[in-house]
Amino acid sequence: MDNQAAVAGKRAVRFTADGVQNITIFAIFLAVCAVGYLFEPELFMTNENIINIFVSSSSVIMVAAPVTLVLISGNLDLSVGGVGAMCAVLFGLMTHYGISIPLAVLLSILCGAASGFICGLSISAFALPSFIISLAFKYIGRGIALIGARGAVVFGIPYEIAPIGGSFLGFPLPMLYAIAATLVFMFIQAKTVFGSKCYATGANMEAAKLSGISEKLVITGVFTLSGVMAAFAGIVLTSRVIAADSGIFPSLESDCIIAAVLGGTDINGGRGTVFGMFIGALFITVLTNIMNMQGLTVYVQNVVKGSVLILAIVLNGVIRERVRV
Amino acid sequence: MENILEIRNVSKQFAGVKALDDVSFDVIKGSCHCLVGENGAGKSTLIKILTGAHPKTSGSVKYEGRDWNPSGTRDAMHNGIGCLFQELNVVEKLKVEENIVLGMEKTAFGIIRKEQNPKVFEMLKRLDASIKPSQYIEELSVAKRQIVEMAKALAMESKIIIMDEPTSALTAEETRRLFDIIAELKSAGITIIYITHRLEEVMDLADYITVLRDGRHIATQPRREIRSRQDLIQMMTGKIIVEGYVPNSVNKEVKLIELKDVTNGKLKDVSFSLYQGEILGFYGLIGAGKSEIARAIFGADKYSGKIFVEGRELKPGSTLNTIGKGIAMAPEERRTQGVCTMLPIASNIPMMNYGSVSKWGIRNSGLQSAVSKKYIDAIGIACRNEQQSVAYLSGGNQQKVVLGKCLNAGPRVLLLDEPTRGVDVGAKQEIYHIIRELVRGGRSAIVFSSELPEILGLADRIGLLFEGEIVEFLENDAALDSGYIMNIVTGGAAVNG
Repeated sequence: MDNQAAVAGKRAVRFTADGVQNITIFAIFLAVCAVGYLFEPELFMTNENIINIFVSSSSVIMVAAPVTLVLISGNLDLSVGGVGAMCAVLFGLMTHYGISIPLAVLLSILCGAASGFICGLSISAFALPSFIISLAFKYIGRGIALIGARGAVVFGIPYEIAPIGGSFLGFPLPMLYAIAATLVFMFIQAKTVFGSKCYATGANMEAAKLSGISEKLVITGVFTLSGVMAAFAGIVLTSRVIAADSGIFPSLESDCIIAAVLGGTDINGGRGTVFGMFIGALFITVLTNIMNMQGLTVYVQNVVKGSVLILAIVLNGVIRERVRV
Repeated sequence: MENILEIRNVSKQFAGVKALDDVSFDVIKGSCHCLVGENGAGKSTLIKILTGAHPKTSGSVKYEGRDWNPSGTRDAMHNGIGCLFQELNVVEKLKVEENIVLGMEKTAFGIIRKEQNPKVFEMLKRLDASIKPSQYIEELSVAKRQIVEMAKALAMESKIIIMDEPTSALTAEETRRLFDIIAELKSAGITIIYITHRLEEVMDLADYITVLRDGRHIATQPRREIRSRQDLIQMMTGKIIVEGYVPNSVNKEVKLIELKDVTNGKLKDVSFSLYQGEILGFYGLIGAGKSEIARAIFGADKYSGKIFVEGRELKPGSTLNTIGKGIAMAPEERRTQGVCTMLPIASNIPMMNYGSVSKWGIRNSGLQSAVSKKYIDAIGIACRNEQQSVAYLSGGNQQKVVLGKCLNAGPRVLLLDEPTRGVDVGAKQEIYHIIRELVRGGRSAIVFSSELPEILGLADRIGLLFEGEIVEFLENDAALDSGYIMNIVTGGAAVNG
């Protein structure tokens, strides 16, 4: 409404809905940390526990960073758990059979990239629902992992891979990887043309196509990135335990989506931030951490997590409704 | 003369902004009451209050003498206020009969009982006998879907039927048919509240006209007291609009685009040339192939035949390539094809040309804001700032965002498909001005429109389309006879074509 807008133009409120969402999730995160501190002042704020929280959430953060882009582009990626396990087992087998570690890392990541590329290409080229195609890739990935590890775990991996999951200047590397992945994908999301195209494709694919944006390139791109990061997370986890387990990441895809949605990403695309996802992932880990300290069973924890997810989506809706910019 | 609605001092606030400000008027039973005003004048808000979609902030509405505070559209429908929304409320995958009884199926313990109200089908037959209850909605044209909606409203024994831009997707013939139905409904004592941008329709149809402007009530007058369309425009805008064609300086030496025998599912042997500095207009009814020509040139649809841009053949089927060749298109459906409504203006403007706001694939946010502000100023997009979501702009301003996006691609040729559909009178003139300015700079435009005044006011040459074929090209001069044009586009033979 022209005149309304003109009147409203005098009020210089500069907060976007994304900004409000980030601040809100951050505030809630701090509140939960405060609660954790009140419950267990001796345990919660120790360096050990904080680092522990980062390390526990590192796989989710690493993979959820590209998955956030997938969601922004209006798609779902349910394949990351299976693909991560597949690449982990592949990495384990290659190192087990004496392929040099750098080459094994590279090949394993290429395998993740190829899987994501084919997944994204089949979605975009045939205009198929990403939900189903990525679900199929989850099963294919998990299946290959199980075949490779003969239904169990690949042992006999050289100890030389340990530094990949080790520590640097006293900080565990998985934590640093997670922070680095967050920064890199924040940059891609907020600063690159590719990031803008993800938003445009997710917000209105038809308009994006008619503006000369190749939705095939965007969708294939985000799925490839997600395959790469799933493979990397698999390699890191394998290096931490020096064993390639075909059963790792049992619920990685849902954890990633939960982290992204807690961070304000719209499940229908067009909205969301990687930073929000980062806080969302930490939030859910802190919550689990507190519940563990209080001795709550996993059963109860599942109920709490589910409820938190519903609350997050409701809250997102309320913020979108109220913050009209 | 009995008042079916008495609206008294109704106001509506949205987040501190007054969408309706102290509006009072009466609607007389059995009349056709037209509601006019520019986009943002408050028409939609008023309708939403009447149908219960929004509560009013203050004031009162009396419906048949009783206070009227519906809890929702369903409540309103059950109490006799039906509404044909601009976006039709039919479920495409269901049959006609299922749609009509949707939401009021006769059930026993939640299970639908087979026997249905025969009155409903009686009603449908009276409105349009060619629609069979067993047809699927997907098979019907927009006009027939509307009739299904209307039958549904009548089946609920509506006393008031609100129609929001019902003719925006109808052909002239279908529109006439709708007007007949409206006359019939009126004679049955049903009150029609009719909202439209097409003032000719208002002049034809209305018994009473209410003009809203900036959320305020300007006047409610019987139709006979309003002398001309110009008077109405003046009431709506507060300023006089001059509509008139100004010839552009066309350089017939330079062909920017040439089509040779372009044919696809919807087009037959379309050939023409576009010259530098020219505005070419295509006029035809819905389905005549206007959008299809635009989409073929732009690379959005496949075709056989050849398209040349400045003498070189265009690679078909790649919009990105076409944009690179200096052609931009503002598509027909603004909201679904033109803009990303959930994104801010600044994210929409560079969509066709990210190179303008980035280097090596890295976006420069400052530059992006600056570029967006440039277009906001240059084409007068009324907004809070460049970070405002396009969703909260009026239709006219959304269309300007689409134009800004196209201009930012630096086009030599602009394809404009229905550039002012659903846009208010003031914004229309501004959009025409933008197009004329563009062409003055040595560029060209093709305007595709189903509004003849628009084509006559803009185009140097006019191509008349019928069923995917160009029937005739006319030079735009005073000798043009709109009756002749209407004859051609409805399938009549050309005299010298």
